[in-house]
Amino acid sequence: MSAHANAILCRERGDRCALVLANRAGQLTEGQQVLREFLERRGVEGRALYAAELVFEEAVTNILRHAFDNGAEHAIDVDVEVAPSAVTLSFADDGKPFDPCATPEPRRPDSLASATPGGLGVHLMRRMSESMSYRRVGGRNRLQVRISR
Amino acid sequence: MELDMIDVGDDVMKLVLKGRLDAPGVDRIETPFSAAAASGGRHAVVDLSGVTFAASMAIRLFISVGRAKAGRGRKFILYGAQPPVREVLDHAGLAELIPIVADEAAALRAAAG
Repeated sequence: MSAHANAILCRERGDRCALVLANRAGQLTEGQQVLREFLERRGVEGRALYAAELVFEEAVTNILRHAFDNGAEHAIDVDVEVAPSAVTLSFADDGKPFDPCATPEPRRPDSLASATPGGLGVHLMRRMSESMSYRRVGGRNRLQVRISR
Repeated sequence: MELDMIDVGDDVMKLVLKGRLDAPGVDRIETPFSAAAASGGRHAVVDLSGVTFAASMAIRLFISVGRAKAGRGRKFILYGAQPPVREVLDHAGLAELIPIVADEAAALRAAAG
């Protein structure tokens, strides 16, 4: 499979779906639509669907913005598995090492004046999921996020 | 993502957001939303009842606009968020920084108060 076509690649097999995105603008939007349609076809709805979409957005946005700095095209692999009790999203990229599970909780500002816009993506992923785990394997970041149904 | 602006008095502007406040959606409306919220030096109340999805980029936008309004002594109030959107706003701690109320009547009372 290659991520060099304009459209993202998606391979469905039963309750699993493998997406390959390129690190280009527009891939997030298309990936969100593919993910949503797959999950809806598998009967995922309500909070679980919302949480899966949020985790996908935050994880892919982080990869697109921070993982690569050499201007070359890279593939972002996203595997989605739907089980009766949970939806699991697994992200893999060959960008700079980044363990979101190790990032500290953001400081709660006392007021709007002391609030810093941004930096809440990982925090929201944690709060909307049941568990997150990270490994660096073979020069690739591997993040797995489980969402209860 | 859609944005409508409605005058609701001399001192209050209502901004109605509809659609997905995901990263692409925020990219589309950030500039007009920020400009509309700042226009006329009025308080701004924001109808979120038509927003079906919001993530961290939406929180960033609301904090940014809320700060700008507070800096001018004007209020910035959110209302009508659907339960999953409200859950995300709460997880982000936004209610500790910006008033988030149930409906338009409560928003207008907060603006007048």
